Amino acid sequence: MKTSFDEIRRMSFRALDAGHAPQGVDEDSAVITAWLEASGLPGLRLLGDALDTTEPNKRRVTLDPQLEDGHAHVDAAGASAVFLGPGLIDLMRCLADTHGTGATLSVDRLRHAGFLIGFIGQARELGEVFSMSPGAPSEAPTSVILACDDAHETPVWERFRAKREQAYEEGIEVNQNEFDKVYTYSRRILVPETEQSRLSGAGAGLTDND
Amino acid sequence: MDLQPKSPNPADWPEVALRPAEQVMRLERMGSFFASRLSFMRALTRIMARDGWRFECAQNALDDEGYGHMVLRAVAPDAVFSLVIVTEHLEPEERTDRVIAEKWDASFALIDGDATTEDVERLKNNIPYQEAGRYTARELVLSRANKSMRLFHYVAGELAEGRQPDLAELMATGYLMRTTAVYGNGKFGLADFPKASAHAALAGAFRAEMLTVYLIRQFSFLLVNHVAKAKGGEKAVGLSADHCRALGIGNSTGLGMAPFLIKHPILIHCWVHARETALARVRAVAQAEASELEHFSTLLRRAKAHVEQWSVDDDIQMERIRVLRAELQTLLTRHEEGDLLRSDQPWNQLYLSVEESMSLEAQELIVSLLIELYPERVDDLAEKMATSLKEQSEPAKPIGALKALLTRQYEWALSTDFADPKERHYFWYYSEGKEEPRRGPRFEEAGAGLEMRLGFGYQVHRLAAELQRWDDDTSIAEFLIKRPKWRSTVRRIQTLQHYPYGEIRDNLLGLSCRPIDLLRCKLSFFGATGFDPRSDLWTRITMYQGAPLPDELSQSGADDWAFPAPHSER
Repeated sequence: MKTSFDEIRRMSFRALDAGHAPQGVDEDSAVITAWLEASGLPGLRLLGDALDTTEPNKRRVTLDPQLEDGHAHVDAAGASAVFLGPGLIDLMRCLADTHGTGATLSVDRLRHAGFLIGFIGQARELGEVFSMSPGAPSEAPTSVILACDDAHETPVWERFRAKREQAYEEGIEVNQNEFDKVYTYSRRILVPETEQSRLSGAGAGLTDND
Repeated sequence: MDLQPKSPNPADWPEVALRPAEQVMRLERMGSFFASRLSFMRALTRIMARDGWRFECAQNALDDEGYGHMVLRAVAPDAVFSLVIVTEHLEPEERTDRVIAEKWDASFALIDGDATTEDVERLKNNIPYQEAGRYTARELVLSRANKSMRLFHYVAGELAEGRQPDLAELMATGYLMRTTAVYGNGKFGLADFPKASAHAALAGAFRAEMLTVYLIRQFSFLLVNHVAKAKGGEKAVGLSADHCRALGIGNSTGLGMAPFLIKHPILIHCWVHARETALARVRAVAQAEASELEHFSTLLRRAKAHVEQWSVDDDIQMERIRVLRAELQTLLTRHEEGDLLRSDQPWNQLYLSVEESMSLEAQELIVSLLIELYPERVDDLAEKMATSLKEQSEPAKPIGALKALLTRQYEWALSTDFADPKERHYFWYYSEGKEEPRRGPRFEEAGAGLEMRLGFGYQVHRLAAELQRWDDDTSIAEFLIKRPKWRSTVRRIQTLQHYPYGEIRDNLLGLSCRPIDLLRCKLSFFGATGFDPRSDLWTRITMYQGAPLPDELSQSGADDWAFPAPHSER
């Protein structure tokens, strides 16, 4: 099926909001989900899997980074990049601010590490040059190293950008099942209908024939 | 004689300070805003006039009762836009302006380009279902409208009999049809904003939506003429240009519009900053020329006539209108006696005098009126009312800086007693009923755990308490990685230090909050008039009333349609 960037973003935000992701993490990861899909990467699949496999009380993850001379280390302990990504990119910004090129952040036991590609890609659009290795868009826990880089355009980022421009022009082709899964999660933000709500919640009557 | 240098660069002009955000961004004042020449409808009609847009009916497949489909084309220098329209019969019990409606008198989609036969067939199978249909990146906007039953049938009947309808009746209602939603920006698979804004003419805020509404207005004239002709045959006449111009297109709006103002603070800053800058530029005029004084006289009389014919059922708004009528009479009398305008900084003196002694409605009407006087000073600002900027946190900053920001910018929130249940009385939510936005009493109705995030003052209040436990030197990044739930709040505070008009300085959860104020603010930026509250949560308005018709856009004086009134003096 075809959809739009904003439809994915809005639906993903609702799914994360209803799923008790921290406020702001839901906003950021929703944008990244759409960014990944527009770039031809499996944002919805990673988000859907993260919501499927992460207990609600594990979605508000707090970290205790170890910092030493421009290098930071975090043990994600199996947490998902869908929920950790915004905090990790903040740490990278701090490292870049204080140590510049060469600063690194190593993250162990991170699930959905490929989700970080979206955060790095978006940061690059703001002129912040980070890179990531190795980290694939898979669900399994893995270790990744984020680095403050001095390289700029590379073929892969250029390819993602071209794909996104095409997506804005023609719409984004997504997997229907992956879309439907996140859509189902997003419906959980809706408040069940009651007669009182229907009659008074919108401040309007039920017919308008004047 | 204006003694100021005639530099085209606004930076060279003398300055009057902008009104502070603490004064402007209060709900009661925002709920008194009027449309101005910076409003999106006005800006769009100027662009269409400047670029010589053409409009035509490309297909008319309506039956004698006006049911079927139609395609309208708008031709810009570098683009074509097509409005595909489907009309159908509606039983009275099905006609509701609410989001929960399932059927409408007419449904619309604005296409980027010419509508092919395949487009029309595809959209005929989708747009009558609105939110339940699917759309593609070819469609920029989706909308629907219902007839104003009484006025539509009255006008069709008169035209069928060969008579023009009574102009005063048209002015009083203001429209033949009213839209009940205008969707854009990627909803239901529609094109995302970057695609629409790639067209220079649609690059401003809500331009594609405003174009759609302009075309819907034109469609409402074609429809009523079509129905009258089928009914009256040779005897029938078409609605005259004067009568068409007296009509706009209506709109019913509820809570769906309110969260937008909270969720897009940088954009709202741009809108309000442009308006405030325009006011400051006009207030800075040292002396007014004779032609400007004459234009002021005309506008003041027209504004008075506009307010005289503005009558609503809502008791609160009607009382405000009565006060405004008296205040405008006072201003007019003083002006006719030569006692209103001073020779030095006449507009600044007038504004200060009104601010000191008159209602918020009068103050904000005068703002719009003053802006109207100086197109050459303010019209450039209409192109600064869109932005692609996003909220951005500053994670390397220390918590101490955040605490200072809170103290400096959020006194209104920190001083609110949120322990008082009245200050958290309401929650806002999306209902399972077609996702209709609603508001309910928090301590009486279930569902507050799923509320929208509109209580920013409460969030700030709680964050301030949390920050007391943290050392000032700790970085924001460290704070957020240990307390991720504050991410959104911190980012907004850090961002809005640069965009002061982005934050509404009132508690939207409180018992005293009237969402109608938010609606009027946003609708005024669209260019709406005839604000007609149906409750604290719901309003009707009119768009494009008095606007030039397609073949009048390039005529002299076509842009002079502020404060539409019977027999407007131009």
